[in-house]
Amino acid sequence: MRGTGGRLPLAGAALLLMAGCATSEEWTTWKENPAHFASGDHFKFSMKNAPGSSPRVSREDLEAARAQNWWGRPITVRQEELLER
Amino acid sequence: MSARLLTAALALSLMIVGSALAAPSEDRILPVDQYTSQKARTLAQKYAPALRALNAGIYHCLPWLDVPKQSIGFFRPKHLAQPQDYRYLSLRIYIEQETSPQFAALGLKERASAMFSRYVGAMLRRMTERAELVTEPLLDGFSVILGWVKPTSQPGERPVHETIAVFADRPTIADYIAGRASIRDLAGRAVVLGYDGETPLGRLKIQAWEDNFLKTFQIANYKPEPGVTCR
Repeated sequence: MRGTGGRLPLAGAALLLMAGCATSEEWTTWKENPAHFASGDHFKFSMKNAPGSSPRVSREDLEAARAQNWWGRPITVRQEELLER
Repeated sequence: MSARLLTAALALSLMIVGSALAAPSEDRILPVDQYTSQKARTLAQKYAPALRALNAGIYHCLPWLDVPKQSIGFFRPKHLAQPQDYRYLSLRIYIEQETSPQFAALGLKERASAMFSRYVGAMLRRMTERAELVTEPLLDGFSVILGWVKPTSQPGERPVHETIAVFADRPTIADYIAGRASIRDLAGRAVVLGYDGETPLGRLKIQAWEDNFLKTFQIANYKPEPGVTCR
């Protein structure tokens, strides 16, 4: 009667919890390697520079990339909820 | 002679057009006439050049950050007691970054701590470049609002942002800027409100640490406009 039936859901729940949280190793990685997610591929855009020239990314290139990657107005807290004029 | 003048005028106009194209939009700053109190209008008029410099600095030197419209100004935090007209110099930014499994694996509070550590101190230093702001008697505090895409958002779908709104009174910021308080102390003394999309999560307890990412990171091959110096 005291088989694993009762323990399995608990183990499953524990696994789900673990999957949803960072391990201490991941947390340490984030702290010690602060550039890990913000690579030079921050923005996906094509280089328009001529072959042989040193590539140059301008502010306008980044604006264009931002517009291309725009998925629509985000769901976020409205400023009026936080601040008054 | 007239041809020379024409050439010079053309060159000058091209320079003006070029610099205009590269300039940040001033609509990121709340216009003076939009404030509801004289105290705020006084601050906005007095520190207009400082707000423009803050806007321009982020635009040119931290181009992966987006400042939404009317997100820089002397606002009144809603969570503070009314009807006192507390005025905080506030900056809201949205952080664009690539998806990262490591970042996604963190819990929301840990992501909030990571973003706080990376951006709040650096933004406060930019916001207080005009040192007079730290001792300005009309100013009650500072707030930095950070947003980023929730890791579960999918490309092609309307993104959900996670947001933290950080509020600290002026003495706290003065201590931090002067080096009398660490970023950890700042996190302990500040009010940090969290949001999952539009859903308020209440006050978050932040664990902060020193993060020098902004001092070292550059977008590959990115060159600020000529004449712009980034520190």
